[in-house]
Amino acid sequence: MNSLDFSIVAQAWPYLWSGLLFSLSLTAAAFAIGMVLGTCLALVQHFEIRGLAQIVRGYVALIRSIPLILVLFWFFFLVPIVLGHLSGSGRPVPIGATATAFITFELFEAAYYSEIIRVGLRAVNKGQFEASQALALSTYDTYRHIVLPQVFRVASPIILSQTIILFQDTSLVYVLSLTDLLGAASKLAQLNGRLVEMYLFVAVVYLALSSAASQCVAILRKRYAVAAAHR
Amino acid sequence: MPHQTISNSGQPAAIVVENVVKRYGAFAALNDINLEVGKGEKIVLCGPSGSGKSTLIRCINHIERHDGGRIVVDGVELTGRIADINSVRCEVGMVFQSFNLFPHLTVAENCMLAPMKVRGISRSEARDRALSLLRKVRIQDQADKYPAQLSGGQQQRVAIARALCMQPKIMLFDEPTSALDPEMVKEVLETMVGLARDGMTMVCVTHEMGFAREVADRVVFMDRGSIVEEAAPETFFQAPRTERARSFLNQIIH
Amino acid sequence: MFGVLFEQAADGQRYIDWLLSGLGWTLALAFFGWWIAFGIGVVVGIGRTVHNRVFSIAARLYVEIFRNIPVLVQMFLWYFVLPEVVPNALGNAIKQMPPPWASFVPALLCLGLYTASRIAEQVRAGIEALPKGQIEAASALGLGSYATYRYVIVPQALRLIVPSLTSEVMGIYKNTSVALTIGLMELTAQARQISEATFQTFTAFGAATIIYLCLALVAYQAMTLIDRAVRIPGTTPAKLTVEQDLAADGPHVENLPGAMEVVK
Repeated sequence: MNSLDFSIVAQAWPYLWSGLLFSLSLTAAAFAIGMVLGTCLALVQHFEIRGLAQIVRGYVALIRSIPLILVLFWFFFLVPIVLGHLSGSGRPVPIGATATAFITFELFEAAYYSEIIRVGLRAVNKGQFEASQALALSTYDTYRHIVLPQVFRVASPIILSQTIILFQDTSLVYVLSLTDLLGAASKLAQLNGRLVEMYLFVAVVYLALSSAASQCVAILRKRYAVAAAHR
Repeated sequence: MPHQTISNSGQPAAIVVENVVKRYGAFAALNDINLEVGKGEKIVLCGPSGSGKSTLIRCINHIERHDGGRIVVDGVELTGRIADINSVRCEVGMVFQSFNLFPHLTVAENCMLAPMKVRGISRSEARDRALSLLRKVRIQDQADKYPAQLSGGQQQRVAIARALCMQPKIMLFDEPTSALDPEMVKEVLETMVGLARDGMTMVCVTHEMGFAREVADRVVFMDRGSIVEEAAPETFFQAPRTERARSFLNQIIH
Repeated sequence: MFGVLFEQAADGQRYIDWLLSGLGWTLALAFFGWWIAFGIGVVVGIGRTVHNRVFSIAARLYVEIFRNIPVLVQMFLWYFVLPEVVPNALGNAIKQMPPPWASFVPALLCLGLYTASRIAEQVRAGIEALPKGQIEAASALGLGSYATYRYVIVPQALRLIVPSLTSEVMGIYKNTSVALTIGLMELTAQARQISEATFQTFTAFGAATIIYLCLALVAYQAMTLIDRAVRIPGTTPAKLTVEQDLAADGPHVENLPGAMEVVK
């Protein structure tokens, strides 16, 4: 057993920090776009839009059934081809691993968020729809002002938990050789041979950030439970 | 085509229900219902549970769709047309048994949303209107609280104010006091009596016989999807004509 | 389209044999990992609910640590870090394991212990969802706390969480693919290798995708059967759909706050 030397981490910090920033921005983008897309996917299923609803259901089931790494490989392979078709040239458009990772996580997370929102939509009390109808609110206003705000509120602990899992999952971009927090640590570890310190440090960073966020979820959940009890 | 029906009193009727049928599968919830409500008239609908009274008033503002017959509200026939339905719903306020307040909006916001989005009035005007109607139901000091912070009786009064904010010509009440604790029933009934005094056209599904005696012009008794008896409250309570009405009255008074 | 899979690879095998061997490792990892996870998960989950402070703090720590570090990082800790931080002799013994086992054993430990932390949370939610009267009735009958848990609480809680365990089963078989990062040639790794050897990327990934979909279907069917088999006669069937872990209608969501979380 060799003695540990964490000063190596301090030297490597700027590089690790840029890796962490990459992880965080990937998480933020996947959260923002995934939520927007996921809400759309959920609404398509909720309204049973003909033809589209079946496709969306298939997409969500497929994405949820296969490993994220395989999805990453698929997108890495498919996105340039699809973009080539869209651009009309027919030739693959190389967009690089970073763009692929962003697109993959946004579309992948959309499937997971859409499941949460879809179920949240079903959980909204029928009386809310009736009261909106009785007030002559349009379908758009009903969903925009009455239904969706309640869905987001009720589902917020679950959405946040899902986002914590998303944050952890961004480490899988390692397989695309990207420099996220883990990627940065791994590249440094190969240079300086300090695997142990590097990986332990990465584990601690993830642990600290995820636990802190989990505490927020617990607080949210408690607050929601209290609000529900008051009702 | 606007359709005008002249009621007995000579005024155009607020609500006309003609031969209305509503089925759930093989079960007929409403079976050939005919009812006319004049402007300013107060009707109390009563009957055992499952008699179709709630279904009837839910059909009047098209929360449930009737399967046959005609419903004309304030001169507009309820067909499937969205424009007709919405114009009727603007004129008809509804109060539900379970309040159905929007839990994520404050009391004032509950009252402001529909006037702003449907009537298109400004936020400040909507707030003024909301506060004045909240004052009317004597709850103006709770305007910025959330529904879950209020008692059941207060919530139901907010629901009444919310409906009034649309300045409806007709108010429908679907068992407004049956989800309330006994001590809160009175405050809601008082609000409804006040509304009746102001001349509002009202159709109330309720078992509060004191309320019926005090404000109703007519009591309509329903059973198994049909109107069995219609009479002035005094006549209905003292000398019900049908056996079914008698046994119903015995059960609720006991 | 899948014709290429039946062609011979450089090592004399057919590509389909590569895929099947990958499937074998995936299944072995998921199967044995599941039992490790289930055993530890039940114990830790119970630990989260007992009054004994040492137990409950230890259980809480376990869940916090294993749930809040990404699987991939845990994989690296088991594979790269563990042999370095244990006494030299043991570390060398670990490093000298023959190839597939050198990856398989750390991957098994990693997935088993990670999934255990998730199962523990489900078990805890299941126990907390039981009516208080159950524990009171058990103590009124004079059952000790061991007997109360063993015969009253745990049997009911486990039945309650069968549907949410479905998502954990799905989670562990999907997470097996993370083992490719430490060199285990499981299904996804084999698909990538075939794609690199034949340039038939679509076929290679397509075949793997279909196999994963079949596995998802089998896992789902198996859990439906288990749910049916262990259900208490007279109780309503738990809603079992692929997205069961999210099913919100009924009291489920309030009862199992953690159940809506999704595993990948």
